[in-house]
Amino acid sequence: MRTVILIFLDCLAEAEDGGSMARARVLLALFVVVLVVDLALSVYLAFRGAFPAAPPLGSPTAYRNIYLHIPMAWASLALFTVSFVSAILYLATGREVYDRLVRASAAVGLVYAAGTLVTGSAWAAESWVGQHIGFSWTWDPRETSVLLLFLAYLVYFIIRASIPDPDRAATLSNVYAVAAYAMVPVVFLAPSVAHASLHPSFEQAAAFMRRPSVAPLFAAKVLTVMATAFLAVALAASRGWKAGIVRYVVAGLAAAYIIAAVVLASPYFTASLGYVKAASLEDGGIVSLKVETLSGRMIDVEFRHPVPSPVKPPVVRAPGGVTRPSIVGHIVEVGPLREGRIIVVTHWSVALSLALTGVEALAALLIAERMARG
Amino acid sequence: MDRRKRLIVFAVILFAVMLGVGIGAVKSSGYRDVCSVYSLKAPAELVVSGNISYYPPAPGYIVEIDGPRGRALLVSTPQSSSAYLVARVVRNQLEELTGDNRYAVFVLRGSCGRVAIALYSASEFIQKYGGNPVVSDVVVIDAVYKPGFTAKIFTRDGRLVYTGPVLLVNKILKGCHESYKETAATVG
Repeated sequence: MRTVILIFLDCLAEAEDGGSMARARVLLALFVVVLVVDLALSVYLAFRGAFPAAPPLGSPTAYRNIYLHIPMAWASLALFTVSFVSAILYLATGREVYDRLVRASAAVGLVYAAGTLVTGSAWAAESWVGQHIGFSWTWDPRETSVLLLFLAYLVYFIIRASIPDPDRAATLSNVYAVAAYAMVPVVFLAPSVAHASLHPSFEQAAAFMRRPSVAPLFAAKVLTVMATAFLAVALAASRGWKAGIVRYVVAGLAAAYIIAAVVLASPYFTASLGYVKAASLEDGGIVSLKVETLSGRMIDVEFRHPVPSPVKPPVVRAPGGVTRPSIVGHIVEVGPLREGRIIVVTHWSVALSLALTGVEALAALLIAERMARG
Repeated sequence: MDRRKRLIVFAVILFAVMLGVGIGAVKSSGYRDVCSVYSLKAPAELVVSGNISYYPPAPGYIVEIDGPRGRALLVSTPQSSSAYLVARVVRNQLEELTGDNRYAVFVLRGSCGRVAIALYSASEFIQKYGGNPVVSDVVVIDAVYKPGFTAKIFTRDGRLVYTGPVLLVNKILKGCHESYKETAATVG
């Protein structure tokens, strides 16, 4: 096990001498390829991903954040683990390569942790608080623990920058990097340590992720995000390379994430939207809807003929055993309802997460390039 | 012990300290237990959690709320469930209960075994959570506590079932734990 970890870390950080440029070129090419795959997956999941059919509050589509927010969070935890192991190895061996790995993984980990905080508070506003626009911070134990984790690693860079002597800075900051990792178990333990938590434990969330329509796509998304993050760390820990044109390619891909996010969120700018509060079904089709617009106006819509539900399955058993039409809770465009069309709109927090996924990848590459320059 | 070993030992000690601080911070920043309202002496807006105390089967319930400047009487309606009552205001001298003519009445039990009675505007409750809201066993509420307000919940035949301080709910924060047990849905 120890050997495997050492080989893995050496692979991440090797490239001090000759051949480093060739290695960096391969890593950069891989970075782009993985990012293209991640872009395709992310866009598909944000637009078409399966979600829990009848959550207690807010738009069910907000739960598509499962595919974007969770991989981000896991990537940051994985990178902080690399940082922890590398810091111990640096303290034990004094090899400079491990010090670079600590810095690289903590820096890229911070980017992903920041993304986790922003996307989490946008999702929580909808699914925990029922506040349809804006962000929310409820001091949920898991939220608090991720904030502590973020701050702990931010302090690592403050310590590092505040000590002028490089050797001393490396030693003290690596001692601190070992200690900062204590916040990772706190993140895991938070929901069970606290009296009550709105955040599900891993076991609770896993019940949904194991579903056949979710598991392969979720696993693929976790893999691509992890691969992007680890490639960025490998690049950051290498020396003597420049991103060159790849920088612009990755910026283009980040722009593609943002454009897809704008398209996903466009109904918020172009249409009148409302939440479905109640629905009646006849012969498997929807015959009437009660919709509350974002401005709080209630609208009753009666359809001349039953309209097929755009949400499949059309009827679900909600927690507590209550059966309800699965369209209830969804955001719909109000205008087309008069023409007998039901257009479901994805919650804006998913678009935000999609955009941030691209921005994070670009930020990780730019940080890596900056660190590689020394 | 050489310098490197000393550094690692120091790092491990610091790790343990940070772990303790982190767990302590998460524990203390979490939601307060509903029992904490028993120690409050002044009005407060707070976020508390409690276990839902279910209503035993009965033909109906009467909720009596005593405040410093009067009393209110509410009668349960058929929309009630075992987790909460939807109660109509039939008599009211309390200005705190003028926002709606029906209230969802929850009984929240804290870790000390005592209960608090949480009142939430029924119109807002049903508008926000739908006609048949799903209520978790543990509920987190953002509410206002005012000293001197107590509620008593009786069955229609006059048997006292619950009594406790009153919390006026601003919003219920919903956990998403139950969501993940559900069927996966898609749009298309």
